[in-house]
Amino acid sequence: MNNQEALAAAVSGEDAAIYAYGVLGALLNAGARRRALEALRAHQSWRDRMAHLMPGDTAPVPGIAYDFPMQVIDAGTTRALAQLVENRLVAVYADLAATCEGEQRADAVLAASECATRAVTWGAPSQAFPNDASLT
Amino acid sequence: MPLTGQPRPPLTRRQLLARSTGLAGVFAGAGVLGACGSGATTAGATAAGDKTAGDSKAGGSGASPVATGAQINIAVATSERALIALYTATISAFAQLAPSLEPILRQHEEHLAATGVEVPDPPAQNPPSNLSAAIAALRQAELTAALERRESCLLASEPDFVRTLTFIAASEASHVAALKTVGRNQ
Repeated sequence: MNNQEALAAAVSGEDAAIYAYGVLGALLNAGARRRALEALRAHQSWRDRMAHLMPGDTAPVPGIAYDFPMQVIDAGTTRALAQLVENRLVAVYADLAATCEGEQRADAVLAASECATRAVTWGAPSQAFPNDASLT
Repeated sequence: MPLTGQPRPPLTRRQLLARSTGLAGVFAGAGVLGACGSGATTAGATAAGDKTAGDSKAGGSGASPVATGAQINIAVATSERALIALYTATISAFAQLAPSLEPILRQHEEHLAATGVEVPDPPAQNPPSNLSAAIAALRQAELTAALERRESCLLASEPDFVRTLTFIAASEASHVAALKTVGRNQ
């Protein structure tokens, strides 16, 4: 995977996360909804930052809709979806960090750290090497 | 169409570190995304590499100082040993925290193992005698570790080593969040 491919993966991953939080935010109440909206804004910000690093209009365009790996029908399943999305993005940003250096790598490590932190905040167990294997 | 497809066997740590998920993976439903192919899988990622210094790769900007993998590994291993000692001492002092803290302790042991190096025992750790202060000390130690690991990422050069350090940095950042709920009912 080269740097442009890793950036494209990050943009696509953020697009999927943005979509997911849009859906699950509507199913949550009060504090959890506020946290979902904060996460949504964070993912939008990272999506824009990653897309800006790609030349011209080469950034992937968002999908119109995305399938979820589980039925998202209540607070429990919305949290599970959030955990899944966040932990998967950790690996995406780890891949990106491996293809770049300097400021871009610092961003990738920070983004990975934020995602792993949000996964735990949504109830996922912490992991030595955060991934989604235990969540799907 | 569900996203996940075939059930997967559990991955080994080595596979996890080596795995390179393109983001087809976040949601790869047929006909709904297709924006990005799944990434190639690279083999053999452990934290033992990074022998080369000063090579440059695509992407990023600016020149970073580059430490050798061996130097970074020793620094990470030393830090992980200190964290392990702190968790061990805290669990010893507050046995009621063991169910919450032992999983995190084991994760630090995995981080240490990933470095593949031996380092001397750290000085004896004396956690605060007050429970909430002891948890706060752990949180501060994790925060410091996460920041140090991020710095190590910037110094490393070998891609698989950078990936491993990124996972460790992310794990330790998540520990700070995990510790927020520890001890609330003690």
